[in-house]
Amino acid sequence: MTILKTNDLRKIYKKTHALDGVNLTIEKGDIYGFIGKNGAGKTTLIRLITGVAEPTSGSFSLFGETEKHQVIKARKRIAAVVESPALHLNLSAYDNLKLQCVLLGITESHHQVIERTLAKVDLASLLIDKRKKAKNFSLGMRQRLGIAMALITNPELLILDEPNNGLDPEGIRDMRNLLLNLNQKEGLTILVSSHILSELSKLATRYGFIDRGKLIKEITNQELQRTFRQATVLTLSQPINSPKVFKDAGLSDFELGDRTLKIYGTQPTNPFLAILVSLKIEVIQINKEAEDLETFFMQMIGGQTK
Amino acid sequence: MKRLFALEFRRLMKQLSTKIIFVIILLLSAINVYSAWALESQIDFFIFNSRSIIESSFQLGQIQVLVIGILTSLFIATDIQQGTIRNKIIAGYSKQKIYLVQMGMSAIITIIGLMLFHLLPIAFISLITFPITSDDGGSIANFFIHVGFGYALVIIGVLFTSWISLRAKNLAGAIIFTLLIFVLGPTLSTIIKSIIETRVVLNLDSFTDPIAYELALEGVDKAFEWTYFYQIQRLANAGSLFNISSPINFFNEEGIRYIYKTLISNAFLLVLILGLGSRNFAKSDLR
Repeated sequence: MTILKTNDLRKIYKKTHALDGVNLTIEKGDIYGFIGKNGAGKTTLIRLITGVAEPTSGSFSLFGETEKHQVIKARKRIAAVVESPALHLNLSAYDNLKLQCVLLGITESHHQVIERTLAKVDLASLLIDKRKKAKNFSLGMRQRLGIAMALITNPELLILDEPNNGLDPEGIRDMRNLLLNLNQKEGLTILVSSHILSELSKLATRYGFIDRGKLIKEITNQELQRTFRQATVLTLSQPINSPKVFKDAGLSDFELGDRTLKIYGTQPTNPFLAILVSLKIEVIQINKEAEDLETFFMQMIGGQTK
Repeated sequence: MKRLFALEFRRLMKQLSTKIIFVIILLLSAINVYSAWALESQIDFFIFNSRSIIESSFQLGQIQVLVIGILTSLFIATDIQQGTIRNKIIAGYSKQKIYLVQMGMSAIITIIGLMLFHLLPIAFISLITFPITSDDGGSIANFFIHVGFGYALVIIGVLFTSWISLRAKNLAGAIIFTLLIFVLGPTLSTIIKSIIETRVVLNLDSFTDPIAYELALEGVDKAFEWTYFYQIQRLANAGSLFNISSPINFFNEEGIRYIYKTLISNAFLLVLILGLGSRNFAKSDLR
């Protein structure tokens, strides 16, 4: 079942094309990792889907609904944290959650709902100090409270914009476990944008790569793993100025660094080693390297890897 | 909409600015009662009764409006600034509904604020002298029309600043605009009127052609009767914004003209603020 499908979605701010004809699909059960540089259009897309901003042109369907009034109703089935968590800073976590209960028309005892939700995001301690205001929370706590507010009901689609912002390593791990748990046990579909690609690679089942407002690729995690190339990296005693010597020997699919030689794929290393011996260059170290999400992303957008 | 109103009332009650503004209203009312009492004691002519106190309590017209205007602007702009308005949109409420509820809340805050300004002095005076006597000889109908127009005009003004507060997207912008409207608005209106009057009568000599001169001035006056600030100043100039013994007689030709011009022009403003405002807000991008 398709949860979200955008159709040639565009957003133009004055002369800037923040989104330029994006066609994206999220299926039920996906953890959709939305990847792009700062200003690539990730937040803009999330803002359009959540209704915070209006598209310049194009459309999208949410739970199969495309008509504007129906889309507004369909939003009752989603929860989101867009940019920073939307909190009443002069109120406590408890009061913030209580207001959210009122907004969502929750009929069950608000206290029970709040207790359960805070426990879910490991913020149960906030129930003890009901007077501490949200403005005095750390960035990480605010982030978790924002997610708690999003999870107060049982949404079918959770949209998180950079949820790891401000979280420490332990918090990032907890967040990952929480999202995986919600996805696997409760069947929650998740759209998550993040800069921390290593973290996203542990989480996402599908990816969407966006650059300068354009969605450049959508790929499943399995497809992505298949495209990752292996490499043998040789660290050399001295640099080699030109790759010509290898090319003349009919060798290919390699990359020459300052004092490194990267041999891609599963091709034998012996011909390379033979040339190095003839050049009297020693091999100091041999490593195996696999491409990762970051390398793939940088190749997609035509950037340089570190 | 019921849920949104319930949320907004809770938010209003919990907001720090509401508590501060309530204390300000309390203080202003106490000061007002004290000064009215002190003044009347001094002139050795004690007519300290409900009528005199209601009259004096309403003499703070501009401050009352400013205090209420700032409270509503703060209430609305905080929601925008903190981004909590996003929670409502994501929860599945249309921007139009959100806008109309915010406007409804502005009107309710205005009515409650004005009523507090009304009732607190009476409560205070009951502490000083009881029972409250009355020598009200004015027309009750006149009084209610005066108060009714006073409330309506203040609500329209507050709705306008609320609209701008929703568009301002930050606290400072909203407050600055509210101050400009309620502090500088009437003065600016007077200056514009004077400039127009001067231009109109520039070539007319009041001695050689007094009738043409008077007619020209009357023409400007009649045109300005359609404008918001002129209407509110008219009430305010009649002693105070809400005056129990208003010198305006609403039942003569001039008074009736005031009534229909004020009703028509403000109905137009209301349609503009609610209709155009909500359409405009529905199409706008929030922070």
